[in-house]
Amino acid sequence: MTAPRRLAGLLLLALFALAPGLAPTTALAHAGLIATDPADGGALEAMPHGFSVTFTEPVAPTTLTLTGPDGAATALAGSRLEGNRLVIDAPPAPAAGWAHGPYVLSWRVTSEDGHPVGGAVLFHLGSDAAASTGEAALLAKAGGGPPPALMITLWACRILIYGGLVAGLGILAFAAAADSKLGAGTRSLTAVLLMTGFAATILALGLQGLDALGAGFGALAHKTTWQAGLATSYGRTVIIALIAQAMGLLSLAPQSRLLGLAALAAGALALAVSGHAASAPPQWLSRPAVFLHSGAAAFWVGGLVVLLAALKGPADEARRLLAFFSRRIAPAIAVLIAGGATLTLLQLASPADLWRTGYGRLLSAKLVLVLVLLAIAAFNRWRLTSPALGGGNAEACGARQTLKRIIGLELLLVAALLTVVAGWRFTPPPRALAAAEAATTAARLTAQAPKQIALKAEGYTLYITFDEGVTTAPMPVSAMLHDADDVMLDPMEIRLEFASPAAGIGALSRALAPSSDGMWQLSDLQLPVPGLWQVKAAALISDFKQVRFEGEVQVSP
Amino acid sequence: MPKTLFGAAILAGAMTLSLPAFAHITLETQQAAVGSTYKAVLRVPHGCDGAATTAIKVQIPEGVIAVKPMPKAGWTLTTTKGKYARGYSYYGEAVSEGVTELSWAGGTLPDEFYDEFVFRAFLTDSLEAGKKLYFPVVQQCGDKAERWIDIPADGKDADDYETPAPGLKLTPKN
Repeated sequence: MTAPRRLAGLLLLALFALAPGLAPTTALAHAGLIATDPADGGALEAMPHGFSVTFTEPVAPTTLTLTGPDGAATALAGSRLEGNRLVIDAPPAPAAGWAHGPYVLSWRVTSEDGHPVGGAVLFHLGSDAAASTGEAALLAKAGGGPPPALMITLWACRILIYGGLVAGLGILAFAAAADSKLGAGTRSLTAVLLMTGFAATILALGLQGLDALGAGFGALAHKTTWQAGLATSYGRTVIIALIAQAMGLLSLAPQSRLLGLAALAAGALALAVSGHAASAPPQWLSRPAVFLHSGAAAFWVGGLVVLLAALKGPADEARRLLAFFSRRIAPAIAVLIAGGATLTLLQLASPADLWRTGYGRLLSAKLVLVLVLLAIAAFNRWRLTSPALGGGNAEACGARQTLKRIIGLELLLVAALLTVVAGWRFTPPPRALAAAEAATTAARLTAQAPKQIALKAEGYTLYITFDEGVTTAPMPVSAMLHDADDVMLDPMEIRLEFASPAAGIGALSRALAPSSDGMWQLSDLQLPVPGLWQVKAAALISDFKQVRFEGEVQVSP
Repeated sequence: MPKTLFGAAILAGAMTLSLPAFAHITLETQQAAVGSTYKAVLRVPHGCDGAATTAIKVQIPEGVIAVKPMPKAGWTLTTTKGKYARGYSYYGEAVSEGVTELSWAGGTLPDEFYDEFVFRAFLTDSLEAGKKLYFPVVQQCGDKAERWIDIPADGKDADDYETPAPGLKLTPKN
């Protein structure tokens, strides 16, 4: 054996002998978690500029995410290692500011031995941390209507739109039906009604967008606001209403009977394609009812305007129109009442809704106005029409003067009525309220029913009870451990871990506290997003015996 | 003789490569024959997430008898005795009870230091050769504890657990 070979052998042996001694310094533990900032379960007044997670050794991050109260996960791009501390930059604040509620900071890091380690902490944002549960946020969202300024503008727009669709198109349609040539004054009035209606319809689209987005008036400058408005069901109404009013304007010069009637049909259609009334189930009934109701209303209102104008003009034409009006208006009013009654029955859950709900109170106001209008109409029809239709004597002249004044009053009442109707934009009908309430109650009952899952391992069974259902709100959790003979055991420790791979949330780990009855309790668990969550549990039966369980649970919003 | 040396070098190399991660509490000798005396050296490479180790407790599995721990300066050594599940024969003598738990307590082993805890035991031939034998260990660090007590289920190995119990492979009786 030569010397070099011997030397090589010795060197090799020395190297291998040294290796185990070197190993502990190079291959350390899986990175253990020492501390996090914010702490798990902590409450913060404001979103910090950054987070930190401290491990027992340096780590390399692979995935870092922040999941917000809405369940949306944001990948955290900026992070750096300061010793054993991983410092993570908070993501830029959203335009609307940080929503208050539960957040989950979730990480997956690689420790030096190459093992990935994952984890997560849950913290609350906002001083109302305790109350800022998903449910509270949901309530706040559901309860807030549009701000007053937007509400008034929307209301005004609605009134102007009714002016165009009901009064403007009604005038054209009645004139077309009666084959009456409109005077210059009425033509101008109609044109103004249609043009303001047209402009208000366009503006209403933007306002609808603002309401849908919950944005301020400044957002009218953004295209997205208008797109949002168009995306609501009201978008269809806007388009058809614009076409209807454009048709009305076109039918004015030269006056076209066909186009005038078609414009009214389009206008009634516009009102029938969206809104509370048109969406009341069954829609095969509610939509035609809205169409006929609004068409008949427009015909009546238009007729009043045309008649009023004619009463100021030559007596012959006035008498002809009055005769036409009194012949045709009764069927129109019958259609109007039938349509209205149908919709009322569909919308109201009970008669008491007439004064109990905002919608019902508006309906009551409208019904009072309608009754007054009908009483006046009846008085006109049976007391004034016959004398007014008489010849050129003084009595007929006097009757026509009275009729003129009364029609003027009727038109004022109509304006008031349309103002009331425009207010329905802001009051959900009772049937919708009842349906929403039923849905909420059902969801709450389902969510609140206690739910128990049984996890089995090595002959042991761990029963985990979610005392108020498994929800994203803080929920009390209790657990008990049974052995193979179904005898309850008294373990030393029970830990639960929840992870949602779908939401990218690593394990939220919680130790349960023992209580006197052998049940183990956890009071502050809040899972931030609904969906399927993985559950891992570890029960320490004795110093040396730990049983691990795995399962999953469906979490309700 | 140089030939033997070279062979020893290769053996040492192979052993080094087969060593598991030093992250955990492990046994220095990871293989032993049933029916033989085994010197267990528990290697403790770190504390509990940075905290100093203050006690090491070991559970003696069934089939391991005649356990004698090695005292350690600065640590109070205690044993817990109990009945075995069955009787064993130790050098012709019937044995039905003995040490079931070991505890070195009251010492301080800072996280940045390394130490070893030693005991001697007889692996009876009631143990099944080819299987692994685990000694669950609880590492106490003040009021914190790391429990190296996970015994891999069938089809899994120690790498599937974060805190596996130290184990050794049993070989047939010599």
